[in-house]
Amino acid sequence: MNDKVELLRYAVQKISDNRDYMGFYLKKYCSLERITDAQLIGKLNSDYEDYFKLGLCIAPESSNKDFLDKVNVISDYTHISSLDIIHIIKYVATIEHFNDIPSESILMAARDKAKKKNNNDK
Amino acid sequence: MPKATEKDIETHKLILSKNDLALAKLFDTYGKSIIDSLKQWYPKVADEDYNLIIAAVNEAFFGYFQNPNTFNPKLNELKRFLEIASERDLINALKREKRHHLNRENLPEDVELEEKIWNRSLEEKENPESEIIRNEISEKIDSLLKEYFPNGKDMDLAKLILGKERKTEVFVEVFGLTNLNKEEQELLVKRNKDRIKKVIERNGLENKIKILLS
Repeated sequence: MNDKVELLRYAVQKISDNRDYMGFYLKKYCSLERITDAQLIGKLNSDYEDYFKLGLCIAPESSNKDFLDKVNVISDYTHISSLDIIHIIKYVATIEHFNDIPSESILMAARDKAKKKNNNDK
Repeated sequence: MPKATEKDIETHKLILSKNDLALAKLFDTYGKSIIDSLKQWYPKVADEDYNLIIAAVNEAFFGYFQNPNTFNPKLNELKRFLEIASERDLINALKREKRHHLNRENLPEDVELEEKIWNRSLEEKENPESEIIRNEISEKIDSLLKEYFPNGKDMDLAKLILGKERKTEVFVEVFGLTNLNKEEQELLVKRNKDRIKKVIERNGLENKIKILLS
């Protein structure tokens, strides 16, 4: 890695626990998919420099109206596809959302769904 | 007339407005040139502790990013401002490293292993920080020993014993016994050493010194 990439990598590491930044989503994505940064870079058809620059961008909020605009700006700057950026954000956000729900609620919802199905079948 | 360039002002405005790309652009635009400057100014650090340079530049950049008002475009170019901040952070990191290293050097596993800290000659050129730390430790040990050995000569003898000095001639010098014959010297040295050793053992002075040094 050259100096600049090393500096960017260090900076992304520093903010990777802060969900305001794309670095958070990249780290979570790699951890959920059990892949390395290098592997994700390969999937994104990117390189280290652009990948770490992406990590330092503020992550657009998917519920906001300007979400797509913001993703496009980041995509233009980092040369990483908007679709890939959206996929990473949404994938991580969804898993995070489910992790935040207490497991009892999920089990109760599943039970209710099963009951409903049984009733309909009768 | 601002000293900052147009690019500086543009980056500064991005940071002030908390633009989504601001942090990435800051690192992208200025990172490499600041690292190059530090590598040029501190070639030895660049060779041996390259990560310190990366960490210092990071610290400086995040410092500015979090408090952008510390930069005054009328006084400096942004590159120069970041260079100064990075160099300051690097110097601080080097000082911390040095202090850490010195502290480790001054923490013996056992008093026996420590080579007579109070006797160690300062003839060898030491840096001021090392000397200050050594003096502080030495003063602490002196004040502890003074409680048990109010007599100056006894205190010197205790230091020699704690420092595992074994040569009789050294004790002879301390007690001013040079005018006696060898047998008398050995007898008196042994008697005094036994007396001092008892005080050291009874009061657990070796352990107390270890605690002082830790």
